Amino acid sequence: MSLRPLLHRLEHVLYRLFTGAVLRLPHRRARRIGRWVGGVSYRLAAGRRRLALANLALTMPELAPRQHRRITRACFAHYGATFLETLSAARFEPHEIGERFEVEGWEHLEAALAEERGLFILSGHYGAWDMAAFPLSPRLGTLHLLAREQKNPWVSRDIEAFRKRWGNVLLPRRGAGRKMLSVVRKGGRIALMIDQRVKPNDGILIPFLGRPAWTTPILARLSIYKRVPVVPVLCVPIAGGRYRVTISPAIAPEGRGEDAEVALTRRYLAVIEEEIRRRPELWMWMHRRWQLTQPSRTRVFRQRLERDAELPQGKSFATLDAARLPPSPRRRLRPLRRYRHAFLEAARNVAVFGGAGSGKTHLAAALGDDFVAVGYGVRFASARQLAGRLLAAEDDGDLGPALRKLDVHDLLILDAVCEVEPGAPSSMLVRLLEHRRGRRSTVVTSRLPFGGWRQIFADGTTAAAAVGCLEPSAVVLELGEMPRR
Amino acid sequence: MSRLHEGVFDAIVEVTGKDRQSLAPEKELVADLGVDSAKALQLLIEIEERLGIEISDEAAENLDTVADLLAYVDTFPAS
Repeated sequence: MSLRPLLHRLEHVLYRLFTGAVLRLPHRRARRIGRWVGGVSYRLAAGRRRLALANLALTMPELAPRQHRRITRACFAHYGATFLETLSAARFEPHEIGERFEVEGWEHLEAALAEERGLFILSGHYGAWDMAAFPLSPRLGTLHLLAREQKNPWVSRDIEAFRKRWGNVLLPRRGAGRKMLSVVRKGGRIALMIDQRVKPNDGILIPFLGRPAWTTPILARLSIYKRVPVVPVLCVPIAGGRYRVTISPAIAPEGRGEDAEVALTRRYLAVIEEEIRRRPELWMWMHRRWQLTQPSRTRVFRQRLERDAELPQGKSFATLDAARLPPSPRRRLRPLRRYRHAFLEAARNVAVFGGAGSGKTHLAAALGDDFVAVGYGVRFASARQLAGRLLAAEDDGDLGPALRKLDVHDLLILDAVCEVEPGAPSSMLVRLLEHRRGRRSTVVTSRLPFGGWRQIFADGTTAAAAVGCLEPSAVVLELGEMPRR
Repeated sequence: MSRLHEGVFDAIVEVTGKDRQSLAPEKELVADLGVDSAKALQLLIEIEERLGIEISDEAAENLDTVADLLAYVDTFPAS
């Protein structure tokens, strides 16, 4: 028999006792105690602390490590405070709302409501987000909240009751897109946050705080489809146990198709980003926002990865006589195969150079096979054919989506770059490389080393652009001129 | 093939990236064609926009296979 239901009940009892205790404190003291709890968890939750520090180092490298630590400490204290004050806020009575909340930008909300097309309220894991709905609910009527359910069904029910208190309705995450469509179709109002990571297959790669991050396109997609305005709303604590809710001007849908979705999603994130830059400690840094890759563990997925990789048959490390590789590539391969994850996260590249018959395609395919075997997404393609396909996509006006479709592959292998024709195909290759630079990893194989790429690309500028995309972060595997066999 | 069926197939090809030939009626959207929740929404929008129809919530809940989709769009008068 599983112990889980029993544990859930126990957890729920503790949760009830805890919330009961919090509600017995004055609101401002609950906040103070929360800050202290957050400070303690900064010391105890080493994993979360390291994650927050790593995220800060990634996105705010201009700050000194001392400042990263200061922000992380403040962030933990803030989240401790937010947790307790959100529980404590269950006591707020409708007549208190006016004193507790200061709202800026009502006119933006009114303007969006006047369109009578339904409404999206966009927020982020910033400040005291759960409380943003308090002062808005009386004006908005029923607000549909898109929120993750807790693992513990009892606790989940309590939190739900809290969120529903102001007449709001929860939309479960499962099949959320369709349910959201059904709500906006009826002119309903939905509040959601889009600053958390989604699975690569569900998302688009959008820079967030300067680094690519998988982000849901659903908000933009629905906004475009049903012409629904998106109004950003953020809530931050201010002095005296009070809160300031800031309503920003609505972001109206523009354009159609995937490019428009990307442009809109960038604008949504930009609003949150601006606030984070202003007061970084108010954002939830202890979340794996920027993880680009996640190896799939299940057999079914592994099989799908193998199929999608389109690797040439029989070219793996098992069939490659590694002992015959020259010493330099052999040495460089070892860390590459060992630290695959770090390699992909840093969007580094590999360049395999060698004469005809030196086994460069075999080596590149073996690398691909190696990454697929541990669950990463790989795509092997002839550089010439892929450039051709992208040119065709450009003719159809679909280049943006075509390039982004390739983003789901952790590793893109471009075989035989020297066979790409000069002119339009080679320029297209450069656009692909520019698109992937700093975002996703690429492997190229070529008869000529970087120094000789001027010959492939006909003109020096294109060659320099291609080399510039790859070389600074490339592991170069030089196989030499001599055939292996 | 009717215009409606044509539109359904085009939408599925667009969203899933599968070959048109591989879309047998008995194929399941989730299991065979990899239509997860994000793609389901995209597919719904594609079909609605292409055919100028509105798929009801109840219907959307019960659409599991390509054949279900085809049968569903047949309930709309061809215009």
